[in-house]
Amino acid sequence: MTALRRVLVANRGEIAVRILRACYDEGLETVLAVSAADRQSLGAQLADRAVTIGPAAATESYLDVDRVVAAAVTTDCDALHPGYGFLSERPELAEACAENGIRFVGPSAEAMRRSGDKASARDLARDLGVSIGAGSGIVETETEAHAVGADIGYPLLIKAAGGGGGRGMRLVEDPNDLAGAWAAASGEAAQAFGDGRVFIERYVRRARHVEVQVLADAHGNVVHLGHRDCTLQRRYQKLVEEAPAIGLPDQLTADILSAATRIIGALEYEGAATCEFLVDSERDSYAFLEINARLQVEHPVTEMVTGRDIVREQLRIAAGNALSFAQEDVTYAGHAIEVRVNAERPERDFMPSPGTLTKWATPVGTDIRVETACYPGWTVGPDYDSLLAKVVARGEDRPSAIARARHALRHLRVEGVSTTVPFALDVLADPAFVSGDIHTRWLEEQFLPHWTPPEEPV
Amino acid sequence: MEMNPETIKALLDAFEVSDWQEMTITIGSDRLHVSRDGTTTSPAPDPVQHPPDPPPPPQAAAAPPVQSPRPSPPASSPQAAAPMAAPEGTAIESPSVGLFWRAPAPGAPPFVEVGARVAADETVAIVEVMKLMNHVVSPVAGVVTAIPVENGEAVEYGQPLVFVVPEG
Repeated sequence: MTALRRVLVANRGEIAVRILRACYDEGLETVLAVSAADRQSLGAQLADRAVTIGPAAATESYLDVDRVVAAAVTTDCDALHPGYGFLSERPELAEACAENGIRFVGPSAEAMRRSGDKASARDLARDLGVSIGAGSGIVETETEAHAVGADIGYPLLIKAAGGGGGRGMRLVEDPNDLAGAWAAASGEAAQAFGDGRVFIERYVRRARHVEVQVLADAHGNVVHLGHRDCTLQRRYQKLVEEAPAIGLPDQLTADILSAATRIIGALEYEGAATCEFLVDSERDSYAFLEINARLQVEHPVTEMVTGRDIVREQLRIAAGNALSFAQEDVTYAGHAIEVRVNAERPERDFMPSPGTLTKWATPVGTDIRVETACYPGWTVGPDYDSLLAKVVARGEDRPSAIARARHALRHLRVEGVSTTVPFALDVLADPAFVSGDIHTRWLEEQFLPHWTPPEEPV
Repeated sequence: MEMNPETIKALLDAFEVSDWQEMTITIGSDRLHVSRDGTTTSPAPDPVQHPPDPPPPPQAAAAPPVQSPRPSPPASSPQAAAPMAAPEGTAIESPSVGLFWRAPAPGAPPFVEVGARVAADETVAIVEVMKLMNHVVSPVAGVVTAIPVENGEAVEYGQPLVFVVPEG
């Protein structure tokens, strides 16, 4: 076990800044790998050093394992934090780090493969007695797909075994559409993840997305930091996340937390992991969905209610240290809500709105966190995703957290790009959201069709 | 007045007796940059051929000590003053982060030397990215005027590796 000294941050945007801050807290030196488009980014200014690894195109920069590892090696880093997205769940990166004597801040390549392959993760969960809902193993032929469809019934969901984010996913309502959807999902999965394998699961009409934050160290400690609710989604992209999850019966809560720690505990896993579950609101039942073997975008809501720093714990674990707390030390205080603020125009089907920020000021407070890499003058370019900031508010209960989040959003000063703030303010004021009576398709099916965008500024 | 050996000599003499740490002189399109300790507080820009936003040199505060990317002062230069005239010609930039190699193999003769003629598409260097050897080729036929990077040095994407003055 050796202490870490210098960390290469292999990501960009707000999460790069978040990881740099954890490195400050841990007293670690930092190097940020940047593309040519990010040389002036906030992270590049905050890191001890920024290394330009390639052009703006992510495939030749943030998605290139060799370049990222070369940046770590040539700058004498002894650890690499991949953040989320990009290469964070690519076993090849963990492997390349290990080969070059660099600690990967995350699980081993083997643990990542075991957890990242959705079909094998579901098999593991089933073996542990965790409910996985009705679904199939890998479906290799059209005939097999039809047999599975007849068995579990329609509507059903075809999903990629090799990745997430909605890619390689198809909803099939009618058996006649199955063959085409199966081919399309497989092709899309092959393109997105280099792995065309797909499986099928039952589609729950009124589902909540609940997930459990888990941390596991090399000393056999596996703890959870409670649950989050990420039900508010659009096209499988989360927009609002909360901790704790809302309206879960006690027994269901206990079952889900126990399932998450048992699954991660069975994987010889080191690092932060999230176990995702689908909660069937109509049946009060749950099904394990998948493991995310990395830091999550929405990790701050858990940090806000537990007072624990997940990224610092990741760095401790990567150094071979034990977690700084035990399960019985974890307590929860209040409720936290995270709102993703994107440079998009909701009134035009969430079309990206790149541009230069002529004004940017954030309403940070004791109970309000703003995770961002924006600053006045920064240009939000077309090369990457449109996330500007995560506005996270904590309150003593859910209503006060919602009120504080709305108050914070009204005080976020942005000019130069269109943002999703007016949309988010309306969502947070909607009676269904306030009462918590929503499901994963509520936004698309109930809210958006009746939403009147605020007048566009002239 | 133009930049010729006489004016350069006169400027260097004036610099030597001054108490300045650094000096930059521009005459027409020529620029002379001199500093006492071989480091510069500002990059030596070429007003014509450089990219608008040259990347920083590869070593900074947090970096391990690596060889200086600056050419050693010519033997004839007075004391520590190192003439740093911006190289002439087209900058051939690194295609990636990696290690800069001037020869195809250890001990082999370099691809090019300063003063050598190169053909368009001729390999002038290699940038190694985790054992992957990326050949860096000259986009033009011409004469090599400068190789501002040491063999084996760590380089970044976009960093000028070789300068070539086009011919013909």
